[in-house]
Amino acid sequence: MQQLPNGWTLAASSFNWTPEVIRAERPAPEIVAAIAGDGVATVIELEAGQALRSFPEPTAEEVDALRSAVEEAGAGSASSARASTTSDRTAARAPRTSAVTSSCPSCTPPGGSGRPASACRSARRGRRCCADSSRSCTSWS
Amino acid sequence: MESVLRSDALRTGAGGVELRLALPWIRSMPVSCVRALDLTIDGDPVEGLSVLLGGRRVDPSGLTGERSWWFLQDRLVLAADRPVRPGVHAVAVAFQLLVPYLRTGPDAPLVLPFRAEADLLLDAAPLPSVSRDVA
Repeated sequence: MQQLPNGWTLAASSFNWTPEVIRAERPAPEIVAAIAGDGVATVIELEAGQALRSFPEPTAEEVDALRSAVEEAGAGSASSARASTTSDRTAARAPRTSAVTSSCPSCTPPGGSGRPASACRSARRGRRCCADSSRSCTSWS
Repeated sequence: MESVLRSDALRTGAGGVELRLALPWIRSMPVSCVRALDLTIDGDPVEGLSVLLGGRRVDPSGLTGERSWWFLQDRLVLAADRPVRPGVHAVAVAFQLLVPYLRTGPDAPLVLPFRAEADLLLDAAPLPSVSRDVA
């Protein structure tokens, strides 16, 4: 395979496995882990809203289980950071994952869309970022 | 849209029929984002449609007040008291999905229309699945 330019990272986004996740023939964390296990990529961009049943308030247990599943698939060592807030847990990184993104789908940020949950004041305080999905969010900063 | 209605989606329920819908989106969504649910079976609109949420029967118009989420691997259960004969039925379901984090204007979130049709065997053999019913 042709080598990537210096500074580039080859990664696979779990969004590409969306149809398989929806079919639900196996748990989403297992599908995500198989991206590494099948040798597709060792750097995985994962979407918490796909991989974690407890989204948008991911539990530490579920995040840890996902991390373990990816580790066992052979993707490398995992971050040992234990999240303390919702936004941190949402951003808990899979092994060797360089860009884990999570949009906040439970509200509408003013002036934009798809912003990371870490930009939400409520989420940073460990709370669900918005209660009313039909209302513009007032917590974005 | 095969991913919305799987072959085992139509089942006999308490006093009528149940239909299990998959979420045709890229991530889990609030249940409150589901709008304008409409179901027809064999070309006939199904009256008195409900959504089953954790044992509660919720009128589709009342979903906007719900706080639960539709996990991407789970199924939203529609229920109606209408009896359905054994055999294959032409099922069509339509709904709108409000996507609050995508906008179509200064104050308007994106609302996507979805429609799925399938010929479904009532009480077909269940497919292998880790899905749960949205609660």
